[in-house]
Amino acid sequence: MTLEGEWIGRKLATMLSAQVLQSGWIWYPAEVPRVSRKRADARLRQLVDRHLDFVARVLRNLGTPDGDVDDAVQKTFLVLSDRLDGVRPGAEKAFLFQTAANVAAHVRRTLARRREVAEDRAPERSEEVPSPEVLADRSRARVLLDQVLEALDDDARAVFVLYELEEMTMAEIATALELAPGTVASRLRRARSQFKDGIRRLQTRTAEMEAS
Amino acid sequence: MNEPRRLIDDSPSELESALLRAGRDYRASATTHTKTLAALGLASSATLLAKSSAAASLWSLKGLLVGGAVVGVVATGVVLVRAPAARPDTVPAELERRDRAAIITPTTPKGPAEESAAPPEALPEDAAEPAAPNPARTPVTPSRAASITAELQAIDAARSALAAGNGARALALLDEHARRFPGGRLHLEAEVLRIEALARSGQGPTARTRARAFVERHPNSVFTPRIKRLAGE
Repeated sequence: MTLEGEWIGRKLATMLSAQVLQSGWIWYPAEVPRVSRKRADARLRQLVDRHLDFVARVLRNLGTPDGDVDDAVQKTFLVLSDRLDGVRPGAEKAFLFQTAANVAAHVRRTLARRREVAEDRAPERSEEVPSPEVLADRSRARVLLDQVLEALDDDARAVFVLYELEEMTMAEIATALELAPGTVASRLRRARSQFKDGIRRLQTRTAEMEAS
Repeated sequence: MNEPRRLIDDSPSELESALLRAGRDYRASATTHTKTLAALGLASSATLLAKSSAAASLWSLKGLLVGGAVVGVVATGVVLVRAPAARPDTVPAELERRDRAAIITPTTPKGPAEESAAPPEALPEDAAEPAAPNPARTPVTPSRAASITAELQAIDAARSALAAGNGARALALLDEHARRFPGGRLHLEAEVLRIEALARSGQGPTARTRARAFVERHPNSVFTPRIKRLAGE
């Protein structure tokens, strides 16, 4: 057996150990202590039920396209499952947010690479802005929100999403993001400024289209 | 800490309010919930099937056969095929035995490479794997749904054999699955299960080869992070 083969073999053996398998993968119940597994499962199930919407919304508002949210939600909770023992009760929501932020960043990077590859062939992005009547259509509002949020820098965007869209308190955000309270406040101010700039740009474009 | 008023409470702009509402109103779908539980191994097949049955009509409206088709179609299959004899919570005995999740995590095709990727060599039928169905044109027929229900049962039987420590039996059941369901929708789940069964049956080199092939062929599968970690990548 080659060195590589031996190394893979060791990894495969590790993968098959009960300790690893306990972490939430699916088909080795016989090797895991039943009581601890059931307890972990119950906790995990409760967290899914409690935070699923939060995770999906955070992923979406941090730039994950609608069609990728399903996979991103699964990945986020799989990470939680793998590390559940190390997540202090009460700190799960913060853990989920940080994980979701990482997953969303990965999705955005992947999309950016795809765009680069397809840039020459892709049609130009539409600058059309819907009329106020059309804004009643929530999906259109969603598209515009994506455009505005896209202009926020990542740090500011995270605070904006948690404060303005998730209605978390600044103290909760400071804890979740492990930031000083003053940093949260300054990022929120910056995010609001960037958000309002984005709104103004949209309004200007709308006015220009109506005038032409 | 002073809490400024939320923008949505103070906004003079209709546009701004509409956008903020759009951001706040986003919710996970029932499909997302079901898929997540399946990926985590938290829902028994019975739970999945019951939930999926309840959502089946909505799913059909949304055309959600792509990607998440397995659960939905299985649910529909239960309704269509077993309706005369079964309540929604009545499922095959093999399915109720499990206390870890059904291996029915659907994987959404990520792109041409992923869609055309066939699993390792023991599943040659996958070379003829059909393209992802077009929800607008692919009806959920009873025979189609029943087929997927049967495939799920076949996979589940293999998983149960493996959980019981009988790798050889699991392999035999997986071989049978490959014969009965060429190009089956659960071929990824079957392959991951086969890797484990091979390893447990003293066929380590084959298991390792297939593990590496799986990672190469399915870099974006929900299963892949786990397999990668197992392979030490």
